[in-house]
Amino acid sequence: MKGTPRIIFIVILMLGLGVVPLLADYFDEPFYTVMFSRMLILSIGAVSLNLILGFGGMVSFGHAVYLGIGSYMVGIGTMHAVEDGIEWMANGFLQITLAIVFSALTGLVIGAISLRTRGVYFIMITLAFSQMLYFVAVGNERYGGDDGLSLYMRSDFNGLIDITYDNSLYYLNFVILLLSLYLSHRLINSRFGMVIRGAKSNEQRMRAIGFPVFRYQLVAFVIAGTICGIAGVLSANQTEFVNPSVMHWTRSGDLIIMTVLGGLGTLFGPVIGAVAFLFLEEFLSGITEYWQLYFGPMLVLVVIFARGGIDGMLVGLDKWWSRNSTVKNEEID
Amino acid sequence: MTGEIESDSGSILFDGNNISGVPVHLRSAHGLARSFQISNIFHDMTTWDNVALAVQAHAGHSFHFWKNASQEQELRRPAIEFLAMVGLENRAKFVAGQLSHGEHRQLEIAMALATNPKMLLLDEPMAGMGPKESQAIVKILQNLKRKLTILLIEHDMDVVFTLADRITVLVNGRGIATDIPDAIKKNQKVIAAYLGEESYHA
Repeated sequence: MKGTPRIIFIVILMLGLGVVPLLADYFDEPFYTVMFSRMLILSIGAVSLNLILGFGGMVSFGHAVYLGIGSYMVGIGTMHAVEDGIEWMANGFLQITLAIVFSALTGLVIGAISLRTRGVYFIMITLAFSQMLYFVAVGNERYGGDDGLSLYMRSDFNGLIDITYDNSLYYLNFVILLLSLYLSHRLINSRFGMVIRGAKSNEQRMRAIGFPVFRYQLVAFVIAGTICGIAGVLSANQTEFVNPSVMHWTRSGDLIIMTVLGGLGTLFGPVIGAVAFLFLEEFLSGITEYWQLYFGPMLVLVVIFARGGIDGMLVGLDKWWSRNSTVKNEEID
Repeated sequence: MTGEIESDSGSILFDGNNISGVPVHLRSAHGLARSFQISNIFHDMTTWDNVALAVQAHAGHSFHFWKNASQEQELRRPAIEFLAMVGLENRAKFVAGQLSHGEHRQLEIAMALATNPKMLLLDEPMAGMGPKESQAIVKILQNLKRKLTILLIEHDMDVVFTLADRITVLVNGRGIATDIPDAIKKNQKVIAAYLGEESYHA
């Protein structure tokens, strides 16, 4: 692999994310660990969305629903553990398992119905389902309703990983992000991934050469939901608070924006997008209360002028770079 | 025939099976492969990937999540052989969208072949091609017709009479004659309709 600007950028970004807590401790600014921890969690969500949106062409406008499912598994479990003394319910492995199971089931139901439609209808149906679950959470007084649940403790991983400290939670997030990146790298290059990408490229053709496209798309939809469910578990532990707004449709929109901003259908695009999104949010909201007024036009510019998102710009930079370096080599000859 | 549009009446018998109501992807499993009138390929993938995907479609289910498909010899090697059959092997690593129109048609035929068909349905494979390009296709088809049945829909008389063993003449969606090429040339109804807008099936 050649050291093109894009690869150098991605390596620096990932290494940088790896040392954030160390730097934050050194400069005595623990706030940054928390901020970047959020970036990691939403990166996982965006990476999972990218599997179906970027590689599969399925514009799911309800992806945050899995963040909600994962979060509520932690919220409900921890509440029973604290209030009713049922300690095993705060077990992190159990919560992750439940989040995986429930996210997969939800994905199966939503996908089985919405994947029968295409285009705008698909967007609207996934949106409708996620809003339905959002209102279930709002209406559920037993588990906090609109106000949500405060967590008095984080998930307990049998003492294997102690995430009471922000730094250890940060590295748990980081490892899970790396795992989900590796998983999606394997997936998109496998036979399964070829089918998903082929269906995005030309669905009619896929059918004509003999692929039952629906079942592959459904499985991809479920896998993406499951990964995002795990991100939900992490998110609840990070904020130590769960309320329905984690699965509000604006959150789903945020995930789409992150993916598009970073670069659809590229491995690291969603990570770049999530980091850039939260960075801009933090930076702009520090300057003005009306930060969205500036953020909106920036997004419009990215969509118009950089079709491949930030990663697309880096690819463009690579091309410019290789052109220039070949010119230089010729001069030397 | 291909199942994209449901028929109004009648039934389709293929190799002894009634496939009238069979969904598109299963028709392919029966051994029916088609090319499209408008080039219908995966434009953002390489030529090789295009054919490898067609090979994959008939290599069992695709719920393989881990192994890198672009390094699987059982997909890649047959794919390059099919490309060689249509004379595209030197274009294997090009992105399909960059190929010329004629090469797209050749690629279409390679993909159809890769699905291991008993019958190949070609919908105007020479549409919009120059004489030189269509000569290349005719050559390919002449080789292929010895190996499998080809149903060719084509306006170009020269091509039809060069390739066909049996011809059906359609006028306004109705077959007016089915016979061997020499008999078709002498058929009065065909001669009467000859200057109209008809399609020839071989």
